[in-house]
Amino acid sequence: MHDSATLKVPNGKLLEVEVTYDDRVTDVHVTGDFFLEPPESHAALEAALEGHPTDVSRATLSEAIQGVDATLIGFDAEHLAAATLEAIQ
Amino acid sequence: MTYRIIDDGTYSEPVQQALEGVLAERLDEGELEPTLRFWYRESPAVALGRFQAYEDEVAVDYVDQRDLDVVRRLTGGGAMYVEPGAVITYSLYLPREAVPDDIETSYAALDQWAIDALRSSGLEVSHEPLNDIAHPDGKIGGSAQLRKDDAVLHHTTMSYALDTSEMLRVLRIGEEKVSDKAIESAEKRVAVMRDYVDASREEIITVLKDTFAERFDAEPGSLPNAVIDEARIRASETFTTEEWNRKL
Repeated sequence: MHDSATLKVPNGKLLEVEVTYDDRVTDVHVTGDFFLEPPESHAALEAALEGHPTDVSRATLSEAIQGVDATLIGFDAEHLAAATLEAIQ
Repeated sequence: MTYRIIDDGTYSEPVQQALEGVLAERLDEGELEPTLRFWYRESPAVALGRFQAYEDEVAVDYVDQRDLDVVRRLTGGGAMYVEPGAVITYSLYLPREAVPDDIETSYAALDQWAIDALRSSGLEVSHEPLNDIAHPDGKIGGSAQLRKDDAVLHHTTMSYALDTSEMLRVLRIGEEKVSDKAIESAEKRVAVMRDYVDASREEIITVLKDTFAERFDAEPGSLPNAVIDEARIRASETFTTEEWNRKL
């Protein structure tokens, strides 16, 4: 399955999350007009969203995102977790 | 701290974007003085934010037909349509200790001199978080930053006389995801300086330079040839390639 979700963060940036999954999330692409420091952390951020079962909780996803050594600018871990779950559902 | 103001050199969009990386790295390595650089472009182009999806942002058939360079920046943020005489772009390359650590504070602080310069030219502009320069009628410009260990790049593009109808043909602000009503409001949300001031683009750039030089210690400078050569190499290896520009 392949789905996507778009989230405009209030007073923030646009997040578009594309998810490929079966019973687990196999591939995630996160795009938008946000900022990340360092920018090279983008791949690690996407990887942190992969491998979870499709019924993963928002808290678990959020925790995985927070585990990445990155500063998220224009969105936070909760926004990205919510957009990822919305894409799966 | 003495700044260099570099106000010459016309380059293609890929070389301009490559210069950003080269100059930020040189400053990071202590090989460049703090610098303010104004951009001169060869042709219209699109500058994509680093994390934007190419096909989400540009009208692919139309940019192919116009043969526009679409170049992914090193910095995040949104897509911009740029025309050589119709936008003003400048970059600041600063030591990290000269920039507030807090991101939101740093955008406001690094935009302030430019906002004051535009205000002294009669433009009613203000900083709008996170990274916009706003006029009551719409957005006039936007900034983006890249941080290295010891350096910060802060670059800003402002509309002087941008053709906003053309911008809407090039960028997909209006297509599919958004209704016709939204196109109208997107167009309205972009304000261009020439609607409000008689000053030419060159005169505005002069006011920007003068304001900067009054506020900070600054001397005219130019780009070292080695920097330009390095940027040309990176442009051909990265910023002209589909691998980079279409990677998302």
